[in-house]
Amino acid sequence: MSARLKEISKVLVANRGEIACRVFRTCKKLGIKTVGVFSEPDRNSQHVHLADEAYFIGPAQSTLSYLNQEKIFEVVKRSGANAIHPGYGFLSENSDFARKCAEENVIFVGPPPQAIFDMGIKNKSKELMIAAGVPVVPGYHGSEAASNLEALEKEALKLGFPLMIKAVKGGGGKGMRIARSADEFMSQAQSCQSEAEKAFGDGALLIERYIEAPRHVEVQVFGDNHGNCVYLWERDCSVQRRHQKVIEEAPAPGLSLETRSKIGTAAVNAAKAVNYSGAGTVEFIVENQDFYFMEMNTRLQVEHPVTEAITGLDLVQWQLMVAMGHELPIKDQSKVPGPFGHAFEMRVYAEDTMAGFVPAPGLVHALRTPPNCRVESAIVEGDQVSVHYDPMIAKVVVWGESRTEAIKKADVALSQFNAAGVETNVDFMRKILRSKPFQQDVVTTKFIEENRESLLGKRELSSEHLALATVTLSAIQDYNKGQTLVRRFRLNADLNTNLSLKNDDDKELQVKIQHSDASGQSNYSVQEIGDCSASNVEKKGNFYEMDVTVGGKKLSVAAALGGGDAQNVLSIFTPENSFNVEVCTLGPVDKSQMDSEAGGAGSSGSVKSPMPGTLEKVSVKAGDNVKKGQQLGTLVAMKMEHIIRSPCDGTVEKVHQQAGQTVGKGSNLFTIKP
Amino acid sequence: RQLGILMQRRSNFHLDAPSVVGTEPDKNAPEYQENYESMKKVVQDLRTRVSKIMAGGGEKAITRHTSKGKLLARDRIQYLLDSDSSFLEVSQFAGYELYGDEEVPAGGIVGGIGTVQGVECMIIANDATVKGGSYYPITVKKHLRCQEIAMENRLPCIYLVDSGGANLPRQAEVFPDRDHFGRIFFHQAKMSSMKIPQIAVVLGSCTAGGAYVPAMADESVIVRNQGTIFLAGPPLVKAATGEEISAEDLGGADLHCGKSGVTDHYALNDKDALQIARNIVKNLNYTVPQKKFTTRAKVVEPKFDPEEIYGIVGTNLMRTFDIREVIARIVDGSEFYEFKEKYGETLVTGFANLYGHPVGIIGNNGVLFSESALKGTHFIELCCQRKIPLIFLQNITGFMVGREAERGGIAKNGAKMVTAVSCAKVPKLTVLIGGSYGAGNYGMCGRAYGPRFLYMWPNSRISVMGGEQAAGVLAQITRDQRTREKKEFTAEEEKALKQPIIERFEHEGHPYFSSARLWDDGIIDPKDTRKVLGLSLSAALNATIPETTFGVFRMLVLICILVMGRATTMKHEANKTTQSSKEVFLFIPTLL
Repeated sequence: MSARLKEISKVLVANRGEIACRVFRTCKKLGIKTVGVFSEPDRNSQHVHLADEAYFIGPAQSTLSYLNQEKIFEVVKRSGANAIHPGYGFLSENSDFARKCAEENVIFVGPPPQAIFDMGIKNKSKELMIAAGVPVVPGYHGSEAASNLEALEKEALKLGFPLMIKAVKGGGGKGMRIARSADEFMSQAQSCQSEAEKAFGDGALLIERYIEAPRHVEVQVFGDNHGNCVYLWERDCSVQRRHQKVIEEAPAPGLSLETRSKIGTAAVNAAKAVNYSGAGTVEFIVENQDFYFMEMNTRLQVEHPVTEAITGLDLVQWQLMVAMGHELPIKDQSKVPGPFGHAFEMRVYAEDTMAGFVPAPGLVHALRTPPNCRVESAIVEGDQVSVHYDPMIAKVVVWGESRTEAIKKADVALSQFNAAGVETNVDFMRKILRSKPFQQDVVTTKFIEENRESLLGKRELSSEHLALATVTLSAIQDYNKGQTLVRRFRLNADLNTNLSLKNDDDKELQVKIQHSDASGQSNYSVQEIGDCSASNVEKKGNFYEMDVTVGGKKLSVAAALGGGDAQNVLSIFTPENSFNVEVCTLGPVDKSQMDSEAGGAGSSGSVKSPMPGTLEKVSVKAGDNVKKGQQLGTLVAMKMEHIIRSPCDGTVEKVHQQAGQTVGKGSNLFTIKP
Repeated sequence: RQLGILMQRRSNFHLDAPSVVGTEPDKNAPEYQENYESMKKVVQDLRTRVSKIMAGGGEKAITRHTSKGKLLARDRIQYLLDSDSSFLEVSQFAGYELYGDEEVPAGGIVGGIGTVQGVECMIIANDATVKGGSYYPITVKKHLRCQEIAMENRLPCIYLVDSGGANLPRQAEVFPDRDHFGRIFFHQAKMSSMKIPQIAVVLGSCTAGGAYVPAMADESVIVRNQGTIFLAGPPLVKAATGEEISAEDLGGADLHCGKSGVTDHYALNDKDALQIARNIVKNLNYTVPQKKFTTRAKVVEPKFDPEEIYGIVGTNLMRTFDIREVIARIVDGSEFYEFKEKYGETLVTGFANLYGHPVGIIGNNGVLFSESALKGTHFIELCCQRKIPLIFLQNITGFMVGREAERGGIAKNGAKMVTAVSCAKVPKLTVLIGGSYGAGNYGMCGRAYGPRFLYMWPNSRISVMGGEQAAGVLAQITRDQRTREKKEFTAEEEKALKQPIIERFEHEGHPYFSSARLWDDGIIDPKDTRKVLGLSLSAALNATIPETTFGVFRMLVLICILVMGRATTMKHEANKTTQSSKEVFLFIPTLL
C-alpha cells in the first residue's frame, strides 16, 4: 500500500480567480508549495499574489493561456511542481489533459482520465448509467444520430415534446436548447450545434424529455483509488437563471430521509460505474421524490463550500489526499459527518439583472464583504472584473442551525456585501431570500422565471432614496474638505439648492434642499422628507460609512463615489437595499459629444455595444438596407453570444468596428440612417 | 468640598481655568421679551427686504433672461462656488431706494466672498435682469468696493460679466471722476501686478469700457452664441462706418477664442463656462501666506445661544446692556480674557478666539472717557505688536463732553485712540451694534478708518449725533434767538421744529439708508455676527499682516485721576443718560 503513495510537494493550480485562491489556502494549510499561472489581464490578480510563485502563460484568450496545455506543462517543468490541480472549468474536465499529466509524470488532482472521458460524453454516460441501474430521464443518447439533425429530429418526434437538446460535450449551461414543439426543433438544434462547435469543438447533440419544472439536486461523491466511494450529502441548486446557478444550499430541502439515502446511493453507484476517484458531483433532476440522473461533473464544484459547511470537511484536502494515493479518511458511509444544520452559497456576479442578467464587468471601485461568514473571492477593492472570464465576484457562504435561520443570516450577509463600480446581483438575491416561495416551498429551476415580476420589479427611486443620496453626497464632500470655517452660510437668507440626480434609467430627478448649519453640523431639509443629517462619517478603503438620519429614521449607510469611468456615480448601500445615482456634473463630461450635438449633425440611430466584449461577426456593410430587428453583428462577451440588432428600418451609414475587435461598453458599432 | 480645597492647595499640577463671560438671561423677564420681539421684528423686516432684493430685476426681465438659456446671476455664483461654500455677500442693500422710482436691486451687481476649489475668491457678477446690467453710480461704487476688499485681503477676483456698460443718462456720475468706471480697470491692473489673480467669464455682453474686464483679466472664458466683447456694438459700427455685422460675428466666442485671442477659453454654455472658471482656480497654485483656521481640530461654539442677543440688546437704543453678554455670544467657548477690566470701564477690551484664531475685541459699555480712550489706545498697541486682528463692537454715543472732560484733555486722549485706530495695520473688523455717533464712530473704527469690513445690525443708527440731541441743539439755538428778540417760543413751536429733524435723523441714520449708499458692507442679523466675523476674518487673513508704525501720540498728564473714583461711580448713571447730552451737561457740574 504505502509503496503506491506519492508525495505532493508542490501544486500548480491551472486556474484563476477564487478557486485558485481556495486551493492555495488548503495547500498552505498542508505545507504544500503553490504555483500559480496567469494570463495578461490577470497579472495583478489575487491568485497571483497568493501563490508562492506564479508564471505568465499568455494573453487573455483562454485558449492561449489557461487552456494552453503546452504552456502549463512548461511551467510544471520550470517550477518543479509535481501535481496539477485544475480547479473547475478550463482543463478540469479534459480527459486528454489528465492523460497527458500521467505521461508527463505529474499528479492530476482529479479523477482518472477514463472516468472524465466517460462522463464527459453525455450520451455515453447515460448508457453507462442505465447499465448501472441509475434512473435517467428518457431520451435519445445514441451516437448514430448525434450529428445528423434530420435523424435526430426523427428521434425527437418519437419522444415527444417538450424536449431538451444538449451538446454531448456540453456543460455549465452552455450548449443547451429547449424545443417546445416540432416546429422549432430544427432551428434550436442548429443553434445548439453551432454553439457546441464553437465552445467544445464538437457539434454532437443528444435529446431528452424536458421536465418543465424540475429541481436540480446534486450529490457530492468522493472516491479513492482503493475502490472506496462515499457521498457527502446533496445540494439543491434549483435557483438558476440562464441555466446558471445563483443560490445553492445543502442539504436539499423537502427530501425524505429515504430519498436522501436513495439518491446518495445512486450517485455512488454512478461513480463506481466509471471507477471514479476524487471529488465528483452527480447531478439529478428531481420531481417530488423521483430523481433522474442528468450528468456527472468530474471535478470540484463551484458550490462545494455548502457541503463543507454541513460536514465540516475540507474537500480540497480530501482531493489532495486521494491524489497522493491515500484511502478516503472516511470509507464507511454511516460515518460520514452531518448533515449539520443548513448552508447557503450565494454567487455574487457582476451583472445587470434588470437587463436580463447580462454580465457587467468593470472596476470594483469599492468593496466591503460581510465580516461574519465565509467569503470566497479573488477580487479586492480596485480590481477589475475582467471581460475575458466569468463575472463572478465572490461566493458568500453562510450556515445556520435551520434553513430559516440560515436564510436570515444569508440576507444579513448580503446586505454587508457591498460592491461599488459594477452592477451586481446582490439585491436580486436578497429579494429571492426574502420571497415567500423560497422561504416556504421547495423551489424549481423555473423559480426565477416564474417570479420575474416580483424579483426583478423596476426600481424607482423614492424621495427617501433621493434624500439619502443628497445627505450622503454632502457628507462625503464635507469629509474630504476637512474642517471648514462656516459652511453654506448665506447672508440674511436661507440657502436653497437644487441637486440633479439621475437614476438608472437616465431619468433626471431634482432634489430641493434647504441647508442649515447649526453648531458645526450640516442639516438639510430635503423636499417632502424634511430634516436630514449625517454623522459619524468614516472612510474605510473607498467606502464612506456613516449614520444618516432621514426624516427621523436612522440608517447606517456605506457609500462610494466614482470609480472607473463613472466619476460622478454615487453608490449607496443600506441594510435595506442598495442603489446608484448619477450626480450631474457642472460642465459636460464629454464635451465633444455636446459639440457635435450643437453642430446639428442630426441624430441617426447609432447602435452601441451593450457590454464590453469582442465583436465576433459583422453581418452588414455600409450602404446595406436593413430592417428593424435585423442582425447587424454578433458580440461575444463573457463566453456568451449577443446578437446586435438594428433599432430601425434604414440604411447602414457606417460600420465603426471590424470583426474581431474588442469593444468597450457603449462604443459605437453601427450607424443606421432611418 | 473641603477635600477639593485641600487638593487645590496641595496640587502643583494645574489645568487652565477658562475665563468664560456671559450669563443665562432671564427669558421670562418682560424687558427681555420686549427686546427679543422688537429685534425679531427688525430682523424679519430685513430678511423680507433682502428676499425681494435677491429676486433681482423682476419677473419679466428674469423670464427674458432665462429664456435665452442664461442662468441668473445668483445661480451662476451658486454653481461657481464649492458646494459647501458660504457666500459672504457684500452690500445687499446697495442702491436701495436710492434712485426714486428706479429700482436697482443690489445695485445691479452681486458681489461677495466664497470658496472656489477651496480658495477664497471675490466674485463680482453683473445682474443683467437689473437694467440690462448697466452701471449706475452705485453699481460702480459697489464694484470698486468689492475690488478694494479683494485687493486689501488678496482675494482672487472672478468677474461674471453680463452688462451693457455705463448707464448713459447718468454718465456724468459714472464716467469722469477718479472713483468712477475707469477705476475698475485700474484696480484690475493693479491687482494683477500684485499677483492677485483676475479671472473674467463673459456670459453676456461686454461692450465698450466693459470690454476691458475680460481683456485685462489674467484668464478669460467666453460662452459661444451668448458672450460678446467689442469696443463698439453693431449699431455704433453701422453709424460710424456703415458696416453691417452681427454681434456674434463682431465679438463672439469663435472670433475671440479663435482669431483675436481676447479670450482664452471657449465654453458651450453658462455651466460649462463656470466649470472652466473652477478649473482655472484649481490651477492657480494660489497659496495663503499664513496658517488659517485649520490649526484646531474642533472649534468650540459659544456657550450661549447667539439668538439671545435679540433679548439682551433689543432695538431701544436708550436701553443699556453689558457688552460682555454680546461677546459671550460671538467668541469660541464664550471665553474672553479681559484687559484692564477695572480701568476705563466704559470701554471693554480683551482677547478671545474666533474659530480658533486669536482676536482682540474692543466694545463700548458707555460713553468714552479719557481713561477709556487711553485704555483703548494701549490695547490697540498690544494687538498690533502681536499681530492680532481687532474687532470693534460699536455702541457709542460719543466721547464725554463737558467742562471736566475737556479740562481732562478728552480731545487729546480721544485723538490718541483715533491715531491708534488709524495706524493699526492688523485687520480691523467693525460692527455697529447700537448707536454710532460723532467722534465715537472715529475712535471705534468707523468707515473712514479703513476697517477691512464694516457691518451694521438692523437696530443700529449712524449719524453725527442723535436725532433728539440734534433737535435739542437746534431748539436751544432757536430759543436763545427768540429770547434775544424777546419773542415767545411755545412748546408747540418747539415740537414742530424738532419733529422733522428727529425724523430726518432717524431716516438718514437708519441702516437701510446707510447701506444703500455703501457706508457699510452690509446689514447683518445679530445672531449671525459670529459667522459673518469669522468669514470676514478668514478672508482678511489671506493677506500677510504687516508691521504697524504709529503716528505721534500727544502725551498728557492725567489730572483727572483725582476724579476717577467719582467718575466711575458716575459711569452707571451716565450710561443711562448719555442719550441726552444735555442732561450730562447738567450732571457733571453737580459732581464737581
